[in-house]
Amino acid sequence: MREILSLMRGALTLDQATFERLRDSRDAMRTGVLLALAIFLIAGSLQAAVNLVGALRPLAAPEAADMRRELMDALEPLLGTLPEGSPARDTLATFTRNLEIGLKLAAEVNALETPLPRGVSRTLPVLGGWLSQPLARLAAFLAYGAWVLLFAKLMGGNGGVDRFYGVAALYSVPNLLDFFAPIPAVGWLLALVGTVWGWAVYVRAVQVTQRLDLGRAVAASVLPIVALAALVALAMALLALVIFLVVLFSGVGA
Amino acid sequence: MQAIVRDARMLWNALFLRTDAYEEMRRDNNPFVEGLFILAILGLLLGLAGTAGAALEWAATPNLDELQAVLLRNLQLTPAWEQATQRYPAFEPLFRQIWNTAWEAAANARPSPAGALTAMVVQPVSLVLGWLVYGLLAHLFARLLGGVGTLNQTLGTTALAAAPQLINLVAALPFVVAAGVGVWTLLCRYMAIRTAHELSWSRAVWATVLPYLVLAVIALLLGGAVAALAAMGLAAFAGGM
Repeated sequence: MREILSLMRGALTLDQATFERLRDSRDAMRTGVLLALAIFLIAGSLQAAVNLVGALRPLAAPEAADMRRELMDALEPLLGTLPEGSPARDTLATFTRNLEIGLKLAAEVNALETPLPRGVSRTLPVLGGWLSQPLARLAAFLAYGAWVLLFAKLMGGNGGVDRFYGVAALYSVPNLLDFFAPIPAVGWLLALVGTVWGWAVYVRAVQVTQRLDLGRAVAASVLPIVALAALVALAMALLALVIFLVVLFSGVGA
Repeated sequence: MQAIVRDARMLWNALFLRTDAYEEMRRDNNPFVEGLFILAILGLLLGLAGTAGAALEWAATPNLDELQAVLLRNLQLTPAWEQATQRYPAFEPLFRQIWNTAWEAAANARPSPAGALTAMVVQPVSLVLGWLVYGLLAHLFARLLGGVGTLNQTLGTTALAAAPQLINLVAALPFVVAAGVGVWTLLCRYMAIRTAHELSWSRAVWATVLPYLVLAVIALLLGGAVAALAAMGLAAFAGGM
């Protein structure tokens, strides 16, 4: 446990010796990936708890009626200002009718029985979502890392694939701040700090594992994003050109 | 028992791209048989995990017919439904046709204990077939690129590269989506081919990726052929009418 805490502290402070020690360890990838999975689980636990509370306290008919009443009270002054038969009034009426049906539908779906007891049935999807999220983040990390590794190798990097992934997985440590993401107002800011900090750790990992200078490490780390953005921009430009030509020629034909 | 423990350890190390695991397999007396054994056990475990997860998922979701009835009943109350049925008399029969088809598809795709039991047989078979097809192609390309490994060694090490399938064991828990298996497998296959054939990193990348490209081209050609045949069949059917 002490070793893990020391590794996390070293990652957060971008300590070169910590990165090198992990790089030279035989079990670099196992250590890094399992640590990242544990961190992603902890980081998503507050959101999972929020989701669980929401799932176990589904929208019941009286609550739905309360919501509807609150909304109607809020809309009442607005409705008063709109003349009878105006399109805006009709739109608002349609909106409230749809909302009413939506609330009724939610309550009816919630009331449907399942073979397992209700509490268990509601908990399982939340648990599934909580456990899936670290795997999804790990998948993105592995896929992105493959491109970073390719660019790093093309720039003269020389380090093992397992060592790279093991050390780069330390980027997850600052992402522990994602834990606070569900907190209103400041949560997103803390998560953003974690993301930026995580990028710094990632660049340091590329630098140490591939034995590159800082400039090349930064380039290898961001080039996949730049290449992806360029590809998306190119695809959008081509799409725009095709649409333009279709419109142009259909106009000529008419 | 000792063999199972050894294989499990090798698989675990191969998952984390440890070269020594792939080298151990390469040096084995009969890597092909070893690989086949590993994949058979892994496929069986995955099948069992999938069955447990599917049974729990089925038990945690409401009856689809009841859900469909609730949705349709409420949909018919909306102003949009009222307008559409009044303006277009053909709307309701057409809608019901599409609606029923969509729900039939959903019912077929829904996890069920029976479907999971089928997967128990299909999973190991598809794992082994996929391994053989990929292994043969990878061996071909690796040799063309100057690799020195035997087919036996290629098949043994690429069987170890199925280690990321271990992630799919989370399917024993309902509603868990195991992402990343494909990319991780690609990385393991790179290690497998590089170790089996002692290739440079760039040649190993090509030998790993080229089988995927070949399979993608074959899939595209087959898809195109099926689409063309379907179109011809439709045209013939329309002509007959």
